[in-house]
Amino acid sequence: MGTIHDGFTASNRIRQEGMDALKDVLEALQDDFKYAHPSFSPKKLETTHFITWVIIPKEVAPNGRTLPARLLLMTSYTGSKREHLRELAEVGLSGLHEVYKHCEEYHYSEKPSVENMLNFLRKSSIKNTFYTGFQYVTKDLVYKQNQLRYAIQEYLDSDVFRAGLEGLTPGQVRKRIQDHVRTIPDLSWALKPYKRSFGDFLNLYGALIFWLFILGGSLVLGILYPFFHHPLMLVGLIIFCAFIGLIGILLVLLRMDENIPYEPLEEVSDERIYDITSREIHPVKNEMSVISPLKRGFIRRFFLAFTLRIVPIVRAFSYIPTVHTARWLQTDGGRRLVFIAYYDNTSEGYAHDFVDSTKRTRNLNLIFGHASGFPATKWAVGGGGKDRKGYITGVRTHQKITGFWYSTFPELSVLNLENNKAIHKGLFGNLDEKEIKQWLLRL
Amino acid sequence: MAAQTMKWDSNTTLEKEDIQGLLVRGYSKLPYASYHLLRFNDLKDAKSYLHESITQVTKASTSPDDMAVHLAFTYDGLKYLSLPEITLQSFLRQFKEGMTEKHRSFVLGDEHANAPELWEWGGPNNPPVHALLMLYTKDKSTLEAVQSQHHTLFGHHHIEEVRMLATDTLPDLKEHFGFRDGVSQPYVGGFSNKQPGENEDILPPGEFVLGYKNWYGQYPDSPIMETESDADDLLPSYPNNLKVKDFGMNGSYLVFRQLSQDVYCFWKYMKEQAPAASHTQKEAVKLASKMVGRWPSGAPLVKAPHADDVQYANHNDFNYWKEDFNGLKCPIGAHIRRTNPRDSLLTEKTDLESKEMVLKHRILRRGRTYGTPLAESMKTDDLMNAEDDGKERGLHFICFVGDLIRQFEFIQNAWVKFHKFGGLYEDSDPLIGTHYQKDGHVTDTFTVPEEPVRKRYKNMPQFTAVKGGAYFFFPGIKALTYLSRP
Repeated sequence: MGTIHDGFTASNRIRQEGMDALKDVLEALQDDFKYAHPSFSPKKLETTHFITWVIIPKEVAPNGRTLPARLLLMTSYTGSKREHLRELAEVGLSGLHEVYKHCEEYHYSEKPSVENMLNFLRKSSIKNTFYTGFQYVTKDLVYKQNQLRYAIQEYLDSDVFRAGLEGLTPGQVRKRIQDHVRTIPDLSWALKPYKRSFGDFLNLYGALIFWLFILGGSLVLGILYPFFHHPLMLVGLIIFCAFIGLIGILLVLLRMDENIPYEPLEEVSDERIYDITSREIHPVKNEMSVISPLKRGFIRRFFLAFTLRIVPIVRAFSYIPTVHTARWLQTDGGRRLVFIAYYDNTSEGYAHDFVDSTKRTRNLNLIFGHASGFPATKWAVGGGGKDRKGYITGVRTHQKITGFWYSTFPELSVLNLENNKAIHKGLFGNLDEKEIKQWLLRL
Repeated sequence: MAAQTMKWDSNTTLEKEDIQGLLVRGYSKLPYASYHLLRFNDLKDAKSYLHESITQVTKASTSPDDMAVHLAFTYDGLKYLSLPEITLQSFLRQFKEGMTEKHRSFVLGDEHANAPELWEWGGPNNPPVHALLMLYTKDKSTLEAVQSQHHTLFGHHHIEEVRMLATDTLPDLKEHFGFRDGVSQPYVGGFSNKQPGENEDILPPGEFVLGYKNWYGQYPDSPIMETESDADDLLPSYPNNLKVKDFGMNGSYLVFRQLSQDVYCFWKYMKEQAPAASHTQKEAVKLASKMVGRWPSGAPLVKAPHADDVQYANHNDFNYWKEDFNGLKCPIGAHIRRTNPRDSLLTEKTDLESKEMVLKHRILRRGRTYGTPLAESMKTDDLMNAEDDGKERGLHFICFVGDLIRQFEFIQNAWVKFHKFGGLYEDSDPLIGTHYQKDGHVTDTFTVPEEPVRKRYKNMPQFTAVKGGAYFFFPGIKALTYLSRP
């Protein structure tokens, strides 16, 4: 199985008469977070980390256009999308049928075959921009790495390990731990250090390297053009100028849209906020879905689409340490912005992560600056989330109550997952004494 | 050392004539204090009591030498006093819902031993509380006199004293476990003429007092009042909307939690963890200090990592990122590193980014200890050798904030309660966290980073338990006067 962690999103219109029944189905599948419903058992899915079904009600966008009620299915998985969808269709066929019989694009009155369900899911698929805080580990590996850490912890607590520890070098201490792990047959997989494959590297940095090559190369060629007048250099100059020009034009057009009078949102009622936040009952990990029509302005949906294409390219440099996964996407011809995240602890703390840091506020503005009612931005990154109150109001106004959500390993935080991976990596990895000393501090 | 951060316009003048004094000073000159939880039984009487008491209420513009009196109200109390509906609705949601709302209990960690159902006041099984009277005096006789005066007033005005919470000051500013407390307090612009330390951050007054700008350059949410409801034109206009009055101006939100401390259990656990054939008492003090983050004298572990050093007893000019990133001196899960992580949030990439985040979540503490010490000397050796006397003792935790959810609740939830804080796995705050093992979640471990490998202390009992608590509104003098009007 591949180890690339990605997101799948399916979008479907909800039949008006089926809305209430659909809500009931999702609630039944949620099964009070026990996930033991006979027609859908997500715990059996090997490829899947997270699943969300969220209903977006019919609404009127600021430009007067009516946006339809939709059902979004958002999953995250490791491996190939093909395998993931097949597993989803096979394991969850009955549950999927119960859910989608309330959607317009679904034409099966009786439970269809797996192949038909697969076709339906593929046809419903839409593009999303996906972020994950723990890349390149499968669900199985997450489980194993946690098992490994647990076994090491128990050993470190034991008198056997503690005896005669003084005077040992870090390397000798690690050797003790290695020897112990070797004695446990269930941990034989850990003897081989975790290593990211070249494919993983390419997945993370490939697009960035490609675009840096294209743009950097164009710049160099463009600079050389006045001296050598080679046609290739002219092409380089044109490509580079076109790229800069495109960004410039987008920014100027956006600035014009930003000047459209800002329409602040009404305060969200206490009851509504309570209804949302009181569902955050999990001690480690919770979920939020924020879905909003875009502000008025011709260029916004294009600017947002452009931004969402850039995000995956630079994602290697954006690490949000409280976020397990997040995704952004546009629906209804780009007129709606969808954001969902699985994060550590509660949404109040998570939402603050963005406005308590100047850097994150700028990044946030690039995307949420287009959402209806979000405080006005200036040149895409200024203003916006600096208005903390306006930002929080925007988030709460557009936050939806998720119909169904599921996550694997509810007891592990993002930093736990990262640490478990580093423990696995360093246990038999090629480290010098200084690195081993640091590795031991992870335990 | 991270540079000083300042977000305060020094041209801003605080209206100290309208601010209750406890907000700007902790009354170290008034060591005797008592807190009285009140329930009104008649509206006219209640207002009459307030009217008679207002003249005693201490303003921030004076620094009393003999006595200070303060008043605060719960949401139920303000409702009882017939504040207009629009004003009641404009208070913070957390204040309106109250500290014991079910989901809030989850957020604050008021579960298991801390559950409100077990509380002695403020919980669902206790009588309602409408107001809090706070008395501070220079000596015991003055306190008794002023208490007697108010008890007489309670009788005259049919006010029920739901509970009287006494305080007892311990020597050397210590709390009951034997550690110096209250060393770290934020410096708030405009509160005093004292100059801040070289690296001391200056917080904007709007972080704690309504009506002034906060870290975000915004006025904190403040309860409003329609102009026609203020017939005497007592209250100032709202900063962001001149059409309405600002009932909250110069007020604040006061968080009160009675934390019972099991001193015997605390030191028993520390002694039990000491390795066999070791200097048990020394090891016990060391472990306890690791949990606190300071030695008994108050010296921070970051400055005095190996042994207590009284020269650092009042030291507060330190950080973690460069001095102790891995927590080898002060563990990441130590109480003071959680309640004020300074520049060490491991969820950030740099010390400056970390500090930027942390400064948005500070509180102004004004609590006092209660109960007699387990050992009169308050020396750690005596505390750990003392027998369990079964007496009640602890801390009346009191703090002021401008925003309950961003400041108090955030700290309590994300830093104190959350057992995954700073990349940890099973560690809630060792002193005031919620320790339990349930449904695969373990929160009662304390991890001490060491070389070559960490030590884990498991199955920590609950050393403190919440015995009562409530959110209060601490009004400005004008708002208090408004409340007293018939």
